[in-house]
Amino acid sequence: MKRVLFLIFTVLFFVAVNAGIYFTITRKTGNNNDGTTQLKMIDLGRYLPFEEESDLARVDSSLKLTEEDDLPVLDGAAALVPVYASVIDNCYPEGCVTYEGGTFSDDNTYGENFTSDSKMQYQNTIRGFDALVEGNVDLFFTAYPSEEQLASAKEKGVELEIVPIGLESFVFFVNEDNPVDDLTVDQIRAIYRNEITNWSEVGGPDYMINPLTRVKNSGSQTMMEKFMQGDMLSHRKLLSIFGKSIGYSFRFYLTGMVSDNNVKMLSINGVYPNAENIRNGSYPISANFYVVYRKDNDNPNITRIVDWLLSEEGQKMIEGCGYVGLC
Amino acid sequence: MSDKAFIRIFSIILILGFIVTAAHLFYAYKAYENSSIIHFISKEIW
Repeated sequence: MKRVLFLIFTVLFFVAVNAGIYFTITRKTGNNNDGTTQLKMIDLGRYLPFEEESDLARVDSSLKLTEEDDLPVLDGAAALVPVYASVIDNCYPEGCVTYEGGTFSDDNTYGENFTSDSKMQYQNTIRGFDALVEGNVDLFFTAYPSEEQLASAKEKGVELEIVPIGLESFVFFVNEDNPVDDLTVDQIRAIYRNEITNWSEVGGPDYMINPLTRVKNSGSQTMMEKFMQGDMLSHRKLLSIFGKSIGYSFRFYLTGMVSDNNVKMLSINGVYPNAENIRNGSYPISANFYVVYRKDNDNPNITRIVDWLLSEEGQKMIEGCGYVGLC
Repeated sequence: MSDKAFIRIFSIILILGFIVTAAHLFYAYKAYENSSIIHFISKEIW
């Protein structure tokens, strides 16, 4: 009998260990950023051009390209899909966005089924930037490219034009139940340099801080590296997984596109990242977002679109998408 | 239960337990490294 109980105890031990791993880590992971699921970070079906119910900004555009025009191929970061999808919706002729099989699906390898000749593509920051450099994409909507991406373009002899078209804030967020609502810029930098490692050091409860990072060359990671002035921890620390986390993103991606009510944005230096505080410059971590194209691309419609984006109409569209215009 | 049977069953449980736990740990580590940070923070229990 004792031996049977011992065997049962051994089985229960492994069950308990695995349950612990599940509740500590596995349960919280999801929406992986590698391989096939990377591009399902957003519900792309909400932002399809020429669909009545899409969440796009529609303005009375004076720029109307036709099927006879050489239509530039647009691609971009996940957070900027509403912007470039709105450009197509406002300025391109219907029928230029095409799907394999005829209808949209986000159920294939890369999370979308645009045909190769569709004027809208969605490859996200890392693959999309490479496609721009290779010449398969004409206009790429993104946060400022990383040093690595710029070096890669230079190495291939590609010169890029990088044009700011709007303003976005970089935000830090925590779980809704975290009592901390505000951090200073210095505190955040200290957290991401492992100089502050416990929430109690910044007015919170006695829990370890788990400073989460993103994949290299993603828009938010590049922005974070810039914010940290080149001095930050290089990867997620394994042991801090037992603590309570802090993460970062762009405001509209977090609040408008993902809209998870279980997380909250933090005020920085006492200023909350709302549109007004970004526009008046009081929120301290704002950054431009850009449209990027190859300088040697001679498609005349590229500059027409860029000029339109910088016009009153284009800026109105950007504001309509939920971002902040340049002025 | 004979000694032989006990040792055999115990060894099987031990080996299977370690294999399952190691595989789970490996998966959890990979998933943690790559998971959405919004999703991860959202699922946190306070």
